[in-house]
Amino acid sequence: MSLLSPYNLLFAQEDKVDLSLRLLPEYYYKEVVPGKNTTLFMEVRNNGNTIINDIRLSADKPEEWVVEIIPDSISYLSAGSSQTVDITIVPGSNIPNGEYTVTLLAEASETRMATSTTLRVKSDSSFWIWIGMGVAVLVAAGFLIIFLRFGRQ
Amino acid sequence: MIERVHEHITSELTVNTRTDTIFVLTAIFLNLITLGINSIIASSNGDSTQTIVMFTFVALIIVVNSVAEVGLIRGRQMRKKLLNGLLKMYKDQGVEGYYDSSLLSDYTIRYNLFMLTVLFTGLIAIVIPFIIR
Repeated sequence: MSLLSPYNLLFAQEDKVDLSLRLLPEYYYKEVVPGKNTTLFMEVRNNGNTIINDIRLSADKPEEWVVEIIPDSISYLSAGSSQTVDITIVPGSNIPNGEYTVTLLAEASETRMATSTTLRVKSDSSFWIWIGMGVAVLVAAGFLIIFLRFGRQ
Repeated sequence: MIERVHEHITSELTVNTRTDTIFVLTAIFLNLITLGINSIIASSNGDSTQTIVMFTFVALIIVVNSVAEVGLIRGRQMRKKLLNGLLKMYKDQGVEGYYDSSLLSDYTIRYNLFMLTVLFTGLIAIVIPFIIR
């Protein structure tokens, strides 16, 4: 069979729908603070050869998290083009330290694509540093008192 | 009789040295172990149970280091008394020239350094996990 048969030419011209979502590498395992905003940027790219209409962006997030995507929809994305969206993430203020996964979804009538990122929640440590320093100062003072009191006997 | 007393004093000094060594090594070892445990706890998910465990280990550090410090102070005082007795004995026997009395102050400095080491390892074991957290 010839490679240039009409069937193959027809097949090569078939619409290809390929949507990709890309976060910058540094956003994976990024450290976030409970109750504080963190903004990520995500590139939505149409790698296919046909226009993609009405792309709706959403997020699958852990409980008590707020994820805001601006814009949360893209009316159309022509072939080979891309658009960057801002993703503002606010972990709940009472979230314990640990790793959490946020999945970002892009849905259109033609296709559906998802990407996820693992974020590391770390409490604002200044509070605990002060606690530690306070305990250390008390211990040092206690040692000094013991040293002076028992040392004289 | 004086020989018996001399033997008794030297054996007391040996026991005293051994006891003080145990105090210092136990305190430092426990401080380092607690530093490791609390650092692991601090770097993991910080729920309330783990915070309680962390503070329990901090309490353990405080108790063990306090006991070690009091023990070392007592050990230092005991050694001083024993060496004073020994020096008096040497003086009575007319052999005090063989024993330098400045050794007493050297022992005091050494004990203070031991206490400082215990104190600082204890402080590090307390502070580092809170910084990691």
